[in-house]
Amino acid sequence: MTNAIIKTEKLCKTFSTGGIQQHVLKNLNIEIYEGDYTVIMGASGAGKSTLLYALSGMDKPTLGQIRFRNETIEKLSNDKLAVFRRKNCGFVFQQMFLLDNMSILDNVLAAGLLVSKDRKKIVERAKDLLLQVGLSEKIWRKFPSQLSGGEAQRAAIVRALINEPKVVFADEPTGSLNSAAGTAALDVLTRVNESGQSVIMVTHDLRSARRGNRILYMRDGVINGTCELGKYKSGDAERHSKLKAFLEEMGW
Amino acid sequence: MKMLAFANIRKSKNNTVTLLIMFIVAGLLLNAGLLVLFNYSGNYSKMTEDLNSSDMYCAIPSSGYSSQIKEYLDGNDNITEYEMRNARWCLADIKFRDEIREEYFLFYDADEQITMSKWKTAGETLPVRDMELPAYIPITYKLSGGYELGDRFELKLPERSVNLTIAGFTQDSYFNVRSMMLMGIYLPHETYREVSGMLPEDSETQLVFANMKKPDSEILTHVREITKLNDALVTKQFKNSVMGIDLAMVDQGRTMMADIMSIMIVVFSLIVMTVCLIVVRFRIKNSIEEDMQKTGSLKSVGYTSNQIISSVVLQFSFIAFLGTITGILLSYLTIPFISGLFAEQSGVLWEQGFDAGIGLFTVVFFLLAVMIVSLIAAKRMKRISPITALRGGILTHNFRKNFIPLDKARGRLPLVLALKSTVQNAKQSIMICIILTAVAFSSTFAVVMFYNSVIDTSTFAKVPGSELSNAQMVLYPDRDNTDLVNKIGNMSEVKKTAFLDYVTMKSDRTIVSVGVMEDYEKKETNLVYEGRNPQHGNEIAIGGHFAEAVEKEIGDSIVMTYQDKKVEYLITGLTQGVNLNGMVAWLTTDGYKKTDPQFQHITLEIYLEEGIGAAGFIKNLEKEFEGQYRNLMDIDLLFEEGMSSYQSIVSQIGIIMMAAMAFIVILVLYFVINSSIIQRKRELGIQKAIGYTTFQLMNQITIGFMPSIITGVTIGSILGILSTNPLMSVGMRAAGTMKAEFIIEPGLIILFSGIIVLTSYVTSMAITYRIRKISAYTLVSE
Ligand SMILES: Nc1ncnc2c1ncn2[C@@H]1O[C@H](COP(=O)(O)OP(=O)(O)O)[C@@H](O)[C@H]1O
Ligand SMILES: [Mg+2]
Repeated sequence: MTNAIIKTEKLCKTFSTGGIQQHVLKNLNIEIYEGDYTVIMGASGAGKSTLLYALSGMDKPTLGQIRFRNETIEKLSNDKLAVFRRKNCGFVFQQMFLLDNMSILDNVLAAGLLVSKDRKKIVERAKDLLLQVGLSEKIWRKFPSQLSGGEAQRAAIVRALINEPKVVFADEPTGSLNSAAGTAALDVLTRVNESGQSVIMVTHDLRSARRGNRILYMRDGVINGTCELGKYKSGDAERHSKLKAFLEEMGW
Repeated sequence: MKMLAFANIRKSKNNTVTLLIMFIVAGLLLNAGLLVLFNYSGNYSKMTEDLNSSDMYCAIPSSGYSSQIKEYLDGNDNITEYEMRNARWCLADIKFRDEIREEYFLFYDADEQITMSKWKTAGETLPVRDMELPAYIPITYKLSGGYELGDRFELKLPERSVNLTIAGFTQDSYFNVRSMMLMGIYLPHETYREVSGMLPEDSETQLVFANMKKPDSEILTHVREITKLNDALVTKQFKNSVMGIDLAMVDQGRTMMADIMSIMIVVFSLIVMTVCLIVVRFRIKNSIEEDMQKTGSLKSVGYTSNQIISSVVLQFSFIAFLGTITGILLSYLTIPFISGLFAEQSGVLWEQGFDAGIGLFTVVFFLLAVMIVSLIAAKRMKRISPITALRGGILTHNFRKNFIPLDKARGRLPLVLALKSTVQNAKQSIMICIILTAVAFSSTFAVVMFYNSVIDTSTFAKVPGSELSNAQMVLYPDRDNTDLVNKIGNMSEVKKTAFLDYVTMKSDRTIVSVGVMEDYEKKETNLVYEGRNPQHGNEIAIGGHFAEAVEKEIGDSIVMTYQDKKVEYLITGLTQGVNLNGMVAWLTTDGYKKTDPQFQHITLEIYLEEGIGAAGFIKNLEKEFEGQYRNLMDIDLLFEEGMSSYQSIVSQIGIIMMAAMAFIVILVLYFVINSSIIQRKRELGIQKAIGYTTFQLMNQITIGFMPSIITGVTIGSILGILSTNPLMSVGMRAAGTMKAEFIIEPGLIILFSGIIVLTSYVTSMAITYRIRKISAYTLVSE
């Protein structure tokens, strides 16, 4: 097993709304390994998204420590976190969150140019990636509202990948896609992982979960169990049943 | 409907408050401006009417008075009635605020029965019994001189002091303000006798007040001819001159500034009003987009378009109404300040009660404007069908063209993104541009006024048309002064000297004040605005007003008369000038001698080298040439004193205008940027998620506004530069200034434009700082 890229210690997150405190993450000690395709599963409301955003420096934990490689990120200021994110993290959301007022290519470049000053190189890379995910040149100049859900999600994945982040974070990336589009998006993420980048994906969908090589099961703010699967191969029946058994054990 | 309107007001609290403040400012300015415009001069005219002010007066030293004058007055058809009065005069030093001023005083017997040009007390008086030398003095001393009832009023004469006690303050038409030369002091009979005894023998004066069928300045001219006291100069030897002035001129002098300034305030309030209306329009257009779904659901439950539109109109009318009413009420608090501002010039005590008519006009005017603008802006709601609206206004998020694609654009990223949003929000950019144009226009105007009244005052000096020398020496007419003039001209402190005398001539029946000068090249205050000064004996330059009155142009010839001698001159130029309502002309010495061969120059203008003070120089002259001249005056000092009241008015109004403009800029930016942040919350959240820092986003938004701000400021400044003088020409035409030539100092205007741009930048950065509160996470968790 390779070394941990993210490691948490006694990670807690508490929301207080209207005076009522809700402990969403409870003393989590987690390790995420470099090169893994980590999947976080669990019922709706279990705290998966909250965990994902804490791990990625999108939100700050209430208590506890998060080490991202050699950096402790929980104490960083918001601006330092922003700079940290643009280099280390790529995000894919269920709602895609593309910038409506920009073309697809501009959406990718708005992230890319933030890190690289070499315009030519970054434009090349953006186009390459777009082609790789099956978005042809005639789509580049379109606006997000003119794309299908699947196309938009693949564009969002390209945006997440443009700065070659160490880790790609995906929060239910197939949640709002139909089955074919969902598969296409998952294929892209699998390829990303195969090329060596770490992926952390939150999902409550079995078909998506199958892609991971390590499954964390979450309930009420704690990790209830972990399942090691080995790298994804399509049509691997043994792998599939192992996952099913694990999930059943977890009460899925 | 009403419910909807108030729900909207509550929802957009910040924007409502901003808009409310802007309406308060606009309402305050318009109401105050109109109050001054209609009531200040009106208040003054009513006073002169109540006091039965005569058309003119003149003061004749008793030594020069003869029965010939009475004969002339009795025999003149044009004079309908006149009244003569005895008075005393003196020149004395007096404390005014923190300075010592030299002023001419006239003493009257307060108990004398008079019918023309009466006086009255203003405000309370004190009982005079047991008071030491009680006196009623002009209200100006209370309004701007720092005196109160019961105070000691000490007149320092060369030989002695006269200590009066203030028993009351007075208002009258001729002797209330310094700019009209004489200050009238009314003393109870006993005191008058006592004070008369303290003054020199030759201080006795005969005053004539007269009404005419057709007012002109003929009386003054004639009296001067009869008394042989022919020069109109007030000299320290007051006994040697006949003073006089007509009421029209006094009226103008006392209320001109208030009139000009009130027009400026009104125009300015209309600019603020325009800004308000633009903002209302913007707000409505915005909320149509923001509330598309709400509109749809209201429509789907059965509200008609008209009901929804009415609720919008009601919403903004209510804000406008509330703001305007508050502004109107607040404007009454500014009255004492405004009144104080003009008091020294006008000598008018302005007591303004609530003016319902003007208030009603202000409210109705604003309400109508807001209703019309909001009706037009909200009309679009009609076209929204409930279904498209409910679908969330797909229409509105319809981006068609990707301006400035990032793969092609050069330059730093925040800058490029900023420009993208400038282009994308074109309507908003245009609005800001228009508002900043208005703001920059007004502040350019204010800056020009400020510069000309405080920094380089030479243009304002031209308004009364006086020559800007440093000292002026009046010589004895029947002596050969050549030697004296040469000596003075050769002094090391003296840059140059030039003779400039004023004489009175006629053109038909019109009395014209004519300046006579040997060489106009030497003149410092160039009054010619078209053509040139006369160079030869047959040439003449005439006042623009005068030219219009006699329907002449440059190149025409005109006949001028002096004591029945008629001479024809060729008009070479048109000039400014307020003397005799612009009835002025300019001749060369040779030219004038054609009508009056005996003429001899007596007034020598002395121009000093840079850095030499007139006061010290005059002391030297007094020592060196004692007895060789008739009078010597410190023009620097006169000018400075004359300007100081103009300066304080214009500079204060200029500063207020500039401050108000800065305030408006900040409010508008707050309004627009705030809405913009709310609108772009999602966009900003996404940008944060992919790693943009707060500072980058602040810059992106702020820089996005800069092109429209800079364009607006540039256009506004240029418009201001181009139109300040034409506008002021219109405003000051009545005063004889045909063509305002205020100095427009580009450096200062550029500096100010820079300040506006910088203020906008800083304001925008301060407002956008709230972006820090938008977190990437709130975006995904919402
Ligand atoms: N910003 C927030 N404020 C208050 N409560 C929140 C916030 N974000 C999440 N929660 C609560 O935390 C719990 C876990 O949320 P989340 O992490 O989104 O669950 P999951 O992604 O597993 O469905 C939920 O009960 C949710 O209501
Ligand atoms: Mg979730």
